[in-house]
Amino acid sequence: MNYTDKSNGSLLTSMCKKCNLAVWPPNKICSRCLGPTEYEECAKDGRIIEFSKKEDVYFCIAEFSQGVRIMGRLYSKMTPKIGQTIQLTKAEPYNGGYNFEFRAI
Amino acid sequence: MNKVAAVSFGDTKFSQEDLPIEQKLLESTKNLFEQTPNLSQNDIDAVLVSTNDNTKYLSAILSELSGISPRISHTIESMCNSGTNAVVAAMSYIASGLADVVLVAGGDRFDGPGQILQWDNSRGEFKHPIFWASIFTGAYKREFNVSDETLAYVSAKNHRNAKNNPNAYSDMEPSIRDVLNSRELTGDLRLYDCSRPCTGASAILLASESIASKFTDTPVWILGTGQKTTSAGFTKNPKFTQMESTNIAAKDAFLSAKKSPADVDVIELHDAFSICEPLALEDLGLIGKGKGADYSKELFETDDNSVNPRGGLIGCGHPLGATGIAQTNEVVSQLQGKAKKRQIQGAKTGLIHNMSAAATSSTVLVLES
Repeated sequence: MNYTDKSNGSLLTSMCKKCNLAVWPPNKICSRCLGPTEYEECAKDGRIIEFSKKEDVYFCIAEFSQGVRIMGRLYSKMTPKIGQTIQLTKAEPYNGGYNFEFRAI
Repeated sequence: MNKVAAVSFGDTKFSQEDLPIEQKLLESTKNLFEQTPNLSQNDIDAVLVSTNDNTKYLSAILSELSGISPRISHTIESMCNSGTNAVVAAMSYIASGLADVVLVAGGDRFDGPGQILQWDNSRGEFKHPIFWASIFTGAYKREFNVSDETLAYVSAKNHRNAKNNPNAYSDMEPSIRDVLNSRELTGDLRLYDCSRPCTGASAILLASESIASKFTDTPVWILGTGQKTTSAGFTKNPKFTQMESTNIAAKDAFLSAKKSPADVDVIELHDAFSICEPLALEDLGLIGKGKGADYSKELFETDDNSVNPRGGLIGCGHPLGATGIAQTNEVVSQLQGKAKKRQIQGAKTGLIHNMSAAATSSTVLVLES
């Protein structure tokens, strides 16, 4: 299953209109009502829920407006803050999965 | 429901050996037979194997290798808590009357495939367990103002406890300074904060009340169980300063056992990383929120080995499919008064906590002699 829109590389999520629920990882079946979902682009603006650091790169859990939570890297000279807003700048296939990159805004 | 007893067990040395998984499982089964008077292959109704190994049909293979022709035979996999899932499955067969005697053997290899949950793409490129452990550690330190030094006592204590366990992988006894100076893996995690993947197997024999006395004079009863799976994906955890699945499983286990945390004399809990010990102590209801690391420090300073007496996962190593069974075996041996140098005097009630994949699934067992 593709997690990104092939035309522009945007991260996708799947929305169940009936439950008003984002299902992520994206799936064509809603995890609540088991009815059909529709694919849509994931919001790019999110906020940091938690973070840690490996060498000089922060790895963060970010939450986006549909409630989607993913872990990605954040290049920043400043220590991130919980609740800080970030933007999803990259979602690329990596090692059979995906890697994600955020930018502080 | 029929009452279910743990009657005997067989452990193996956890190591980095390159052995076929079935050989290690057979070794644990052989040790169990040698330690169980009156047990013959014909007594065994079911053989359950707990593993993450990709070898197929391991319960039938182990049965053939050990001369058993069981009625029930299958594998159980649930990543790091496969072992206690297999114990609960065995218990269910006996409690329901489908079996009277069940052999559970669990094991994995040092290079087993169970360490990385490939499915969980919400972790992005950060799929190795050190990353969820770092997130939990960072969150806990921030919320409760806990230092790296205080957390280091978990590792020092569990390594020290493992020194009295001849089956443990570790034979070192690092100081607090050694833990803090061990190789930095992330900003929140050092090498000695981690359990190590190992080759190892453990086996346990469960029996119904009607037959338990054939095999032992000191049966240990499984009084209560609690199990909860909240999700598969790490980022779905509602908070990163607690193990929600453990909290729920513990409440169910104590309720079904008609016991409370104050009754527990000995605990084996799932310290896959240092941070897991305070989180588990807190969510099992043994200590208040944010106080778990100080509690481990106090246990270290007072030479108290009632939490992770065998050395936990940090001291023993972590062959995934074996771990939950090895934990159970330690508590059984403590309650039977057979734990030798590790014996906690007068231990009567024990608890096992085994969890999977960043605490998304937990099993808690309450045992009594």
